[in-house]
Order: sequence, then C-alpha cells, then structure tokens
Amino acid sequence: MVKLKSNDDKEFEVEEAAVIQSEMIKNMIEDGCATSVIPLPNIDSKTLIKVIEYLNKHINMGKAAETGEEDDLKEFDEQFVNMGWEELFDVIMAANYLNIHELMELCCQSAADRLKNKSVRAVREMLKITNDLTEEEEQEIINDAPWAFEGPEIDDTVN
Amino acid sequence: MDKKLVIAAVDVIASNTDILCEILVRLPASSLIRFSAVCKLWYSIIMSMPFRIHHSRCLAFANALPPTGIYFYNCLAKVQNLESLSLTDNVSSLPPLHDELTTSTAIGGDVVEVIDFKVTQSCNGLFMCILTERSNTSTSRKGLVYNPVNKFRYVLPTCTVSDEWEYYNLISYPEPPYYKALCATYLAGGNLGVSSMGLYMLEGDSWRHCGSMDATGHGFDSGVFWNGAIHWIGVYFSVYFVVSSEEVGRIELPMAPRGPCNQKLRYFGESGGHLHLIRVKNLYAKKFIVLELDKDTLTWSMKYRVHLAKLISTFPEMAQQTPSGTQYAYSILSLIRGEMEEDSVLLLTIPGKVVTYNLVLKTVNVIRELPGEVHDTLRFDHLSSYQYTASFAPGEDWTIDPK
Repeated sequence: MVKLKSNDDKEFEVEEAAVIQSEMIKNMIEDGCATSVIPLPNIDSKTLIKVIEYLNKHINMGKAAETGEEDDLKEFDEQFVNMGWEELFDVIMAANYLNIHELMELCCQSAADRLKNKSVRAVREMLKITNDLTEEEEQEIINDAPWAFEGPEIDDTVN
Repeated sequence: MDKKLVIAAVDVIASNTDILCEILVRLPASSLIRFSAVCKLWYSIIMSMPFRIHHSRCLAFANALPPTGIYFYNCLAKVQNLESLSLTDNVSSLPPLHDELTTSTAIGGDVVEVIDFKVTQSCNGLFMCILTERSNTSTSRKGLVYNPVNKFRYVLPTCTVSDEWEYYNLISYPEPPYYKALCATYLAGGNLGVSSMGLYMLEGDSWRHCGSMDATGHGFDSGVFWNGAIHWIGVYFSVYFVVSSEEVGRIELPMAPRGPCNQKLRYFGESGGHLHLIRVKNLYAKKFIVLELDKDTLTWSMKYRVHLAKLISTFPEMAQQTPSGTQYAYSILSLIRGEMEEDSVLLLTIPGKVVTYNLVLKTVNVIRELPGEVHDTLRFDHLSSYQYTASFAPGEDWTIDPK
C-alpha cells in the first residue's frame, strides 16, 4: 500500500499496483523516494478521491479485455467524465502532474468534445477567457474562413 | 469551500499552453479555425506550425474517425458545383471548394483559365483534383492536391510516360507531409485486348516507377485508399497496390447478383476504416446486400442486408410504373460508418430529396431537398460524393517554399 497526502492534509491509502499507473509515483517508488507518505501539494482531497477512483477501476485493465469487461470500463469512463468544467480541469491538472497518460487522454478528449461545436463567445465565457484581440483582428480571422463561423451546429449556449 | 481553488484550475488551463494544446489537438480542424478567434494565445497556438504538424499526425493515426461531412456533385444543378452536405446538426460546416479552385491566374502575361475541375478523391482532409487549364497557347490537364482549410495547393508534375490519360490517387501517410500521390497510366505496347497499367509514386518533384498491373476491365478513375493500399474495382475481381511493400495483387469478388442489368456496381468506397461494396441485380432493386472486405483474409462477406420497403412506403414517389414492371428510383451516394455501429447510414438520393437510411435501425431521415425530375435521381453514382474530415495536412510550412 502507498499513502498519498492531498494539499488539505488528508491521507489516502492506495494499492501499489493501482498507483503506479502514475508515471511520477512509479518513478518515485523505483527511486526509493516513496518511504512513508507521498505529499501531493498540487491536488486537493476532492480531486484526489476522483483520481484514486479512476486508478482503482483501471488497475486490472489488462485483464479486462480477456474477461469481457471492456464495455464495463467504457461505461465507467463515460460516467467518470460526467462532471462540471471546473472539476474536469482539476482532474486534468492532477493527471498532468501525476503523469497518468490514460486519464489525461480521457479528460482532454471530454473537454474537446464539449468545446467542439461551441461558438467563440461560448468558449470565452465557459473558460473565463478575456478576449484580447482587437475588433479588426477578430474580423480578419472571420473573413479568412467565414464558413467556420456559420452553420446550424454552432452552439452558443454555455454549459 | 473549494470555489477559489477550482476557479484557479480553469484559469491555469486556459493560459497553460501545454495542457491547452493537449485539449485543442483533439478538436476537428474546422472548430480550431473558429477558435483561433477566441484570444491571442489561442490564435498563436492554432496558427503555429508545430501545433498543426502535431494535429495532422494525430488525425493521420486516428483513421477510424467518422467524416465531418460530405461533398457531392449535384448533377441536377445547372452548373455542376461541388456542394457540401451536413449529415446531422452535429456535423461541422465545410469550407467552400469551387471558388477557390476556379480562379484564373496570370503567369507572365499569359492568362491561365481553369475551365474545368473535378474532384477524384478525398483523403485526410486533402482532395485530389483534376484541373483542366486553358492558356493563350494550350490546354492542359493537371493533378492537384488541395486542402480547403489552409488553402494548401500542390500542382503535381506531369507524368510523361505515355500519351494516355493519367489517373491520380491520394494515399494517407502517417509521416509529413501526411500524403503520397500515386499516378496510374496505361502503358503503350500491350498485347491485343490486354492493357497494362504503369504505377508511379511521387517522390520530390518527379514520378518513380513502382510497379505495373494487368488493367483489363478495371475503372482506374475510382481508386479507393483503404488499409494501406489503393484498390480499384473491376467486374470479377479488384486489384490493389500496397504502398509500403509496393506489391500488387488482386482479390476475387463473390458472384454478382444475377439479373438483367450489366452495370451491377452501385457503390465501392471506404468509411471509418472499412471497405464496402454494393452490387445489385438491377438498377431498381429494392433489396441488396452490403459487402465488407476483411482486413486479414482479404475476402468479402456480408455486412448489412438492406430492404428499402419501409423507405418506399414512406416515399411512394420512389415507385415508378413502367412497361417492364415497378421500378424504384434511388441512387446510393455514400455509406458512412458511425462511431457507434447503430450510427452507420446509407446516404441515398430519392426523388426530390437526399435521405439517410440507417443500416442498423432501418430508420430514415431527410437531409435536404433536391429539386429535379424523378428520373434524375438515378443520375448520381458512387463517384458523385466524397466523405471529408477537415485537417491541417500537410502541416508543414509549405508557404515559404512550395517546392
């Protein structure tokens, strides 16, 4: 068992087999740097719980293919990314920091799927981005490829 | 209580280039063109060559993506333009093709006018087109590789081995520039009744001979890239050229459905990594099967059984009474495999409409109106439409040195 500590001082015990899906922790263990508790100063307990839930579910991924649990895992992944933007970004930050390739992939794909059909305005609002382009610059971008800015699929809602 | 931290994560990602790239690279090129207007940081990421190369590479490896849309020749319109077709509301808008390609250019006082252009293949966001140009002195026919998203255009060098017609094919390739071009042309001096096809691969600015094959009874204007090879369909078998090994071969076709009609081929095309073939016993058959080629055994087997009875009862104008019996007016534009099996559809033209016929659920959706005479519905064929996925290919900075 490996002990992880979130930045709000909560400790979690995780099986080594599960936790080494994180390249970062795997390297720490291999280098003998993971003696008692591994502090994770960038991750809060709420996010860490999500990450551990993912690690535990995916621990037997190799076996899943053999036992026909692939669909089960797919369903879990779909449910897993069913969270708000802020939560999703927290998990992406944590996955990036811990270097968990599959989790990063899953969450970034989910973020991309949500953005795909959004309007420029909706993206700015969802991600709280300030537009620093001048009106002329923005118009120039639109004029260069007007087809990309029109179409029934473009969604102006923020969610 | 976590509100402050949480907002911070959104802020961090929106301005963290590495993580932002990880998300953006998973978006279709058409969305990215739009999102370049979000802010300066996004603009600079999306416009940068490393990002575009990365994006092209990801797309080249994800070969099972459903298309972002269809371009098709509306042979009912007065001017035969290539029109774009959105399949559902979820499909992105498509860049225009026609205007960009038919602009005349002036080269040293000699005005070159494009008098005709025809798309012959679509692959990886790139189109293979045949341009017919007329200048003051001559008329010439050229192959052109074109990407409407970044307006990349590359005029293929002429492959001057014979005076025969040249057929150009696009090959999706997982390394920059993410495409290769193959030229097939009839070789002179074949025995009586036997024609031989020479194959040439584009390398730099010239064509290298890479093989030849017996060409009897094959339509070389409809090469399809699938599973690392170009396939050309014939009557009794198809022939192919494997890009990596430069091996040529042929695949037996199952017996065609018996019937009075000579032209049995209704569809031959690739979608989502699957190669499909539809042959019918006659032009107006309301039942037919869709065959799929197995990657490992290279044998054809039945994938879908199609019965258009429900479609015909919904659109009774499809049934035409003729002296030789009832006939059904429709043609097959395309077969599109969805991400999910139950999203797989046939795109059909019927009198006055383009519809999708779901191959699994057997449901029908009207995609758009298509004004024209009933008989015109039959004028479309499988060479009328091209599935398209927007990309930034070739990804490299071709604007600095187009050669």
